[in-house]
Amino acid sequence: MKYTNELTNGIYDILAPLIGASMADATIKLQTKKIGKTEETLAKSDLSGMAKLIRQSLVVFIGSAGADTIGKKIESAG
Amino acid sequence: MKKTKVIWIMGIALILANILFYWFRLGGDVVLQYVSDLLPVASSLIASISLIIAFTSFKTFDFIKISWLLLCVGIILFFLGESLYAILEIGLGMDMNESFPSIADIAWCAGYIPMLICLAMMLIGYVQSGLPLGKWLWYAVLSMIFIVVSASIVYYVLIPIMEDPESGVLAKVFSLFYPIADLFLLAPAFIIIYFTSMIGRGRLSRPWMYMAFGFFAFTVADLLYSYLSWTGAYENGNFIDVAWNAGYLLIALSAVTQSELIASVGAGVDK
Repeated sequence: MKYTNELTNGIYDILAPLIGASMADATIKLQTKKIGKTEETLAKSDLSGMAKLIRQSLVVFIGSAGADTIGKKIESAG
Repeated sequence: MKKTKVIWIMGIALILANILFYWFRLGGDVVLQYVSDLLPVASSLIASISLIIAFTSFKTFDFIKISWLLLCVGIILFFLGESLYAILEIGLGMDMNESFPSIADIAWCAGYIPMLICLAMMLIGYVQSGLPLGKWLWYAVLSMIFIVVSASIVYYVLIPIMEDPESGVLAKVFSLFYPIADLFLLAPAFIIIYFTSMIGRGRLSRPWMYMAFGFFAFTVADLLYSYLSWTGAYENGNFIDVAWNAGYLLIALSAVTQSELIASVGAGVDK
């Protein structure tokens, strides 16, 4: 396990195959910071906010529909 | 068989055929002219079909679908340019150096416009995505490279074209358009290569990476062509044609990789 927080690990497992390990790390760090958390303090109630931010990051690569699919996966990562 | 595999096989076969014909001059000058004119038609047709597949794979008509549509329109116009050039040279037996600019040049020049808008939209989309933008040091290095390349093009290509007393205004306008438009393609291609290098080996970066290298191949070939053609050193069978064909095939690869990425995300498959 990369993170001690299971939720963060869940998000990482969804993102890493898509955007690579280092970018997944950087994205999680950046987006958790935006919602006022860290990788280790992320809670289930934050998943919706994280999903929204990550969805926004992915639209440019896979379009709105694809990003929605990933966003839903993140929301249900808990 | 996966579409990416088909494009890889077709691409390698076309490039190998291109190199073999040019290297050994198989069949003499007539065959060389056919190969030189028809391989770009085949390569750009493959790229056009692949881009139509990529465009239709997006389910929502959002800005990113529009940017792929613009790339598709640009490459179809290039395909039109390649086809018209082949018809004029092979079919009608015209001397293309004497008849520059031709109707093919209108199609090629028109093709740059949607492609430039596409690249601009992709870059703006990336900046707005909230993904890391990387280190400013790299932007400084890329800017330096771009300035050096631009200065070389101005000195070796643009100034000689402008100062040439034997060319008409129309020939000068078209001759200047290509290298300037290539510079505008080269800058976003550099930035996209940097973005994709940050993303690394993730599946998301592959379509953009292939696309950026495709544009890079185009611009290098085109700039060399502008220089060689102006100095009268370009003739059928020049190896820079390989870079053009590789550019089209890389863009085709980018398109089919994109369509497969969308299909796998939609199906919830993490390959």
